[in-house]
This record gives sequence, C-alpha cells and structure tokens, in this order.
Amino acid sequence: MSTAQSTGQTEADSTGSTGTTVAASLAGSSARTATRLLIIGITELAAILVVRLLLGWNVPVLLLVHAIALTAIIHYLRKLETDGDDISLPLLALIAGLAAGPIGPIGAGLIAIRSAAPSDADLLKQWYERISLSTSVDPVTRHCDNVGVGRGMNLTAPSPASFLAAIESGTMVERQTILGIVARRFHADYVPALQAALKSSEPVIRVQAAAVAAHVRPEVAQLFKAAITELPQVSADPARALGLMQRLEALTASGLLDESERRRGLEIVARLGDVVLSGVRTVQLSKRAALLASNLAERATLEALLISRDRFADLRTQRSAGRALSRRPAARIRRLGQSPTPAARQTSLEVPA
Amino acid sequence: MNREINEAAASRETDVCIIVEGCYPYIPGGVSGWIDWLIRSQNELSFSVVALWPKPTDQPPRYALPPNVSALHHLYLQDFGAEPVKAIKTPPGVDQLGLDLGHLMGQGGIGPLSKVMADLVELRRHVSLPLLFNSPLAWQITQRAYASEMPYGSFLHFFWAWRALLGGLLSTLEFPLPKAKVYHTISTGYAGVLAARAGLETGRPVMLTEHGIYTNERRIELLMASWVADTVDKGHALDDPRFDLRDMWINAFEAYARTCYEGSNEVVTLYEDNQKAQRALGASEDHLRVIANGIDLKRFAALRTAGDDERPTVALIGRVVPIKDVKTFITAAGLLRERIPNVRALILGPTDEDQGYYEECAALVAALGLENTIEFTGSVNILDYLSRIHVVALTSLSESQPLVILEAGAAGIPFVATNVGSCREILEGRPDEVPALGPGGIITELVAPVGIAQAIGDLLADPARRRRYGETLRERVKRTYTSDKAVASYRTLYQRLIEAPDRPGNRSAA
Repeated sequence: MSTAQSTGQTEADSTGSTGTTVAASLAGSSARTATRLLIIGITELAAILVVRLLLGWNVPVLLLVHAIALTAIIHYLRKLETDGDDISLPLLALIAGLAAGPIGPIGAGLIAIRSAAPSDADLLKQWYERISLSTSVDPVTRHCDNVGVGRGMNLTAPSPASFLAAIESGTMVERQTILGIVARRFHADYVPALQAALKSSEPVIRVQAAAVAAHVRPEVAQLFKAAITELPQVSADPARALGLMQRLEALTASGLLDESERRRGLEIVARLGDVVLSGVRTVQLSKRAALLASNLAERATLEALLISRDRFADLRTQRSAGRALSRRPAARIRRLGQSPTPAARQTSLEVPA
Repeated sequence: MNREINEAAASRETDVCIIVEGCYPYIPGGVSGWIDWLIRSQNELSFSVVALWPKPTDQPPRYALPPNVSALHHLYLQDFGAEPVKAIKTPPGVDQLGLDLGHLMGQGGIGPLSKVMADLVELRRHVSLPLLFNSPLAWQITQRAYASEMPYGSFLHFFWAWRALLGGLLSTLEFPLPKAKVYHTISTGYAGVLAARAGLETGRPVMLTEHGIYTNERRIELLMASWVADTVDKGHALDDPRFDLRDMWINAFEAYARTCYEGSNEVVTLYEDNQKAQRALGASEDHLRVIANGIDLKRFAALRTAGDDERPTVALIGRVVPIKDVKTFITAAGLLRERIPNVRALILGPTDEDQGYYEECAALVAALGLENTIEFTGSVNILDYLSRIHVVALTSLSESQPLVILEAGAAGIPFVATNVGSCREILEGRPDEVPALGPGGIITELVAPVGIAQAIGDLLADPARRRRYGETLRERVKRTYTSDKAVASYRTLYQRLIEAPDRPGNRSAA
C-alpha cells in the first residue's frame, strides 16, 4: 500500500493529511491545465485549417496564428505562476509549441491527461470517501498511519504521573491537563483525583474541577446504569461481583451521583458484598490459595468488606494468598470466577428498584 | 431595541466605548446586568457599545439602551471573508503578515499586535483583507502554518481551527473603531484585542474590567470540549510536547489576553484572587486594581429578619442551571430534613433557561420525597421573600462576586456558600479588614451536600449565631460593598482616563 493510499484511508480524525490533500489538489489542477492546453492547441489547428482554406499557405498569417497561440500559453503560464500553481505543464507545452507548432500544446495536453486522469479519479474518490466518512479503516492500518505520521503515543516517554499526586502538587498546567483528561475520558478510577481537585487550595483548580464534575455527571450516571445491568451476570461469580462492587463503590463515593442513585448504589454494594463473602468462605473451606481480587483497587475493596463484617480470618487468608502471589508471581492461583462454587451459585442478586 | 440611534449620533465621539463579548445587551443577568448598571450609574458620561457576537442574530436585546448610550455597534466574529473566492496577485508583505499573525496568535503582546497592524496598513493598499482571506493565497498561508506548527496533525481540523481563529482575529482588526476618549473592555479574548488595538490606533487609554478570568474559563472549556479533535495520542502523559489543536486554541486565547493586559492602562477585577491569573499573563502590577461590586442598601433597609418561631427556611437564590449546582442544594435539603424535619427549602429563580436541567431537579425532588420541603418559585422579587428566610445558600460551581450574598447580607441574613470566586472574601473578610468583623456565614467545599447540609443545619439550630453572622455580614456589606462606593470608584477612574493626554506616537499605527 502506498503512503498516499494508506493515508487516504485513515478515518475522519486524520482526514486532512497534507500529502493527500495537496496531491488531490494538484491532480485536479493538472487535469484542468492539460484540458486548457488541449483547447489552445486544437483552436490553433482549426485556425490554421481556416487560413489554409481561405488564403492557402500564407506563411505570415500562419505565423501570426501560431504567435497568438503561444501568447495564450505564456499568459496562462504567468497566471498559474501568480496563483502559485504548478507551471511545468504549460512550460512543456510552450517549448513543444515553439518546436512543433500546434501539435506541441495538443501533445502536451494529451500526455498530461492520459497520465493524470486515472490517478486523479482514484485520489478524488478516496478523498471524497474519507471526508464523507463512508469508508472505515481497520485499526491496524490506522494505528500504522498514526505512528507513521507522528501522531501515535510516545513510547519512550516516562510512565504517566499519578493523577492524585499531580493534582495535589503538580504544576498548574499539569493539573489542568489532568482535569481535561478526566472530563474527556472519564473513568471511575479518576474520581479520587477529581475529588482532590475540588478541594484544591488553588481557586482556579477548584472552579475548573467543579466544571469538570458538572460535565462528567451524566457520564457517571450512565456508568452507574451500565454497572447495575451487570448484576444478574455476577450473582454466581464472586470475583466479578468484587469487580462490580469496587466500581460501584467508587461511583457512589464520587459525589457525582444524584442522591437517590447513590442510595440505590449503596444498597447494591451491600448485596454484592454478600456474594463476595460467599466466595471467600468457599475458598477457606477448600483450604486452597485463592485470590478474588484482580487488582489493588479490588483488593482494597475486599479488605474493607472483610473488616466491616468482622471476617478477620478470611482477611488473613486473602492476605496470605496475596503475599504468595507476590512472592511467586508464576504460581497458579485459582480464580473463583472461572469455576463458580455451589455456594456462590446459590446466591442470587436482584436489581433493587 | 426600544430606542432608535441615528447615524450622526453613532459617529460622534463618546466619553467611553464599552467593548463586550457575547453578553450585553442580548443575554440577561450576570455581566450584562453589571454593564447596564455601570452605564446608568455614570449618567453624566456618554457611551457607545461594541457588542462582539458570533454572527448576525434575530435574538431580541434583553436590555433597553440607557439614554446616555449614543451608539450600539456589532462586530461579528464568524462573518469574515464571506466574499466569493477570487485569485489575487500576491501582494507585497503577505509573507511577513503570515509570520506576524503567527506571533500574535502564538505569543501575543502589544509588540506583535503593533506589527500586524502595520502589515495590514501596507497590505490594504494592494488588496482588501476579506478578499485575501478567501483567496488561494490564504490557502497557501494556511498550508505553511500547518507545516510549521503541527505537520503530524490532521490538516482538515487544523484548517478549520486556524480559519476560525484567524477569521475572528481579522474581523477584530478590520472593524471600524468608534471614536471615544476611553476604551473599556469587559473581558480579554477578542474584545481585549479590539481594545488593545484601539489604544494603539487612537492613543487613548484602555481599561479592562474582568469579572471572572476569561482565559481560565476558556481553558477549561477547551480542555473539556469534544468538538476539538485530539489528533495526537498523548495517552495519559502530562508533559507531551507535541502541539495539538487544543493547545492552539488555548495558546491563542492566552496570547489575546496577554495582548489585552499589556495594552491596558487599568486592569480592574472584583476581588484579589483574580489578580494572580492576571499577573501570570503579563498584567503590570502598577495597573492592577480591585473595584468590588456593590448594591443599593436602601432597598433592603426596611426588611425585617425572619423570626425564630417561624418555619426554618433556607433559600437558594439563582437560576436553575447546572452551574448553580441546584442538585447539590436539593440533596443537601434532603439531608437537612433528617435533622430538621419541618425545614423549608426555597429555590428562587427562573426555571426556564435550561428546561432539561430543571426537569432533572424536579425528578430528584420527587425521588427523594422532598415535595413538601422544596419549592421552586420561578422568577420572583426577592424582597418579597427575604423576610421569611433564615439562611441563604449558594451551591454554585463558579462565581465571581455574587450579588446575592451582598443582598442577603444587606437584609441581615447569614450565608452558606461554596468556596468559589470572592465568596470567602465576602463572608470571612479580606485579610486586611480593620477591624476584623468575623464571619458572616460559612464556606463549604464544592459539590459537597453533606457539608452544606451541616452548615445550614448549624445556623438554623443556633439562632444567636445566626443573628450574629447576619449582622456581621450586614456590617461588612455596608462598609465595603455598596454601589455608591463602586460608582465613585469608576467615576474617578473614568475621569482620570478621559482627561489623560493621547499616548505619543500611537496614532501613526492607524
């Protein structure tokens, strides 16, 4: 795939690649130039025939006709030069016209049309398809294009800073960049950073965080709705229940849900806690190392749950499983979610009204 | 508009030319109300108004022009270069203009503005600017700018962003300036550029009054905006140096602000916190000044305060729109009812500005079962209500200097407000307050219904504290926030600037 073709197929975000734009623009203008040169040549040829019929081979008149045609080409050439357009074709036609008379511009025009027309059509077709968003691009091609033109992620950059830490002690620009990311690509994990920004000692950050909070509220409500639709699927799966519980806890603690939804969320979190605990109990009975949490956030949620329900023995079991995993990362740790236990299967969840 | 303005009056020199972007006289409340107040309060001076607006509108004005306004001019920012495309000869100096425009939009400042104005004087001898803007030559200039600024980005998006920014800027630079002795802009942005240009071109003084900091408001708007395409994948990096469209927009507004600050003889704001941002963008320390808004105390003098035996009442006074965060107030009212079951919560303000948001608020009231606690009154005269209110609350996400605190204070009602704008300064007093009066209310965090409910509940439950805070606030408003003080400050300022001589060497820039 040529660069032009490849770039030509990128999606709306990259529709404006200069290369293709200029190529399409130049292709269109060269076709116009060729047509105009052809017209000049044919007109001159017709004038010569008329002179021949009326006056015979009257050399001074024929030279005058030819001079007029060459003047037209020179004039056209200067216009293109003024407009900053490509002048190579009319220059070629001028030289050919000087050497071969009317055949020169006709020949130059025909050559240009023959060579330019098909690719013009292709480029224009691609261009129109791209700007009308009627073509889709496979992600690999798009990614390849983005990396090729320098839009891709900078893989040599250091790891991103902690949002929470940067909100608390970063520069003004860093804090505002974070708020922009939170607003545009909201995720429940950003809530602590947003809450810290709302309490910032810097008035600008506080107000901007408040604007972001107002902006993401509908999205938080949407995430909440999406989360509760997962309830039926997680009722027999303590590991997934834990994941959902952690997300719902973050959403209900965000301060961004309406009070009625927040209360509903807390109620669901409590029920999810029962499902998670049933999984933990099964693990303990089977005396096998098992890890419910798949990340640190889930682990914190699980530990808080076990503490709140006075399940300190289970807490120790989970912690020792966590330690075992950190000591031997390659060890096989059974994930409960992969094979629901009978006890977990018995627990059902209903979406509270 | 209820008053005809004839052409002769429009071309007459006025004492003050007010330059305002996107509000007066078409948008009610806030800054528009303040402009109306300012013009009417300076009735011995003549005014003209330049209203910057995106494009011609059928929207009726919400303010009748005061009698001392002799002209209302419109500057349309998105109306530039509507002429048909026509090839033009390359005029001399166009490359220099391209470079200087790049500097003005990228860095800003009075120097780059001066250079661009000089380029335009030369250029206009050969070609009209709208014709140039819509010519193949402009296309080439855009391509060159793209190649130098962000060749890795999306050209299509760059083209439209560049054209929108440039169109607005050129509209501002081409607009025929009304004659005036002082040019007073109410924000930075394009209005600020026009004022700076007026200062350069006429040699007359320029002043700026900022309520909120325009660049900060634009910055967060642009950072959140989904209409600005991210053409570079910066991931979660906070320091990726690659320039993208969002940076271009933000840079341009900061550059315009820098131009305005540098070009202004006086930079006024409503409270000190704002000055930090103004300094950061180049406002000279000597030019900075605070003039607080004020209210007419006489209107509130006869009001009695609500009695201890009356139903405990808290009110939010304001429009029912997201920026007022009415939902947090409703949630706080729900929590408050658990502590004070017979509490009444009034929401005094129009509900028709954002019908969708009002419906969401009404639904929340129903979901929390607060129908007997919360009442949406719609637009009302607050004087009819203040005597029945024990505490006023403000849950806004953003404010500059809310008049409603001053009005409640004038009526001796304590206030609970989020920590935005100058709320803390009004409720707790400025650090240099002598003698320190103490608190006139309670400041809470933003989007914090629990804290807000706690603060309101504390004041409702403690009549002595409530009265003490109310009286303190009344005293502070009387000392610092009266409209007489604000009127006198602006009168003195205007007078000094009107009498100031022309700045030397400036008229030649025209």
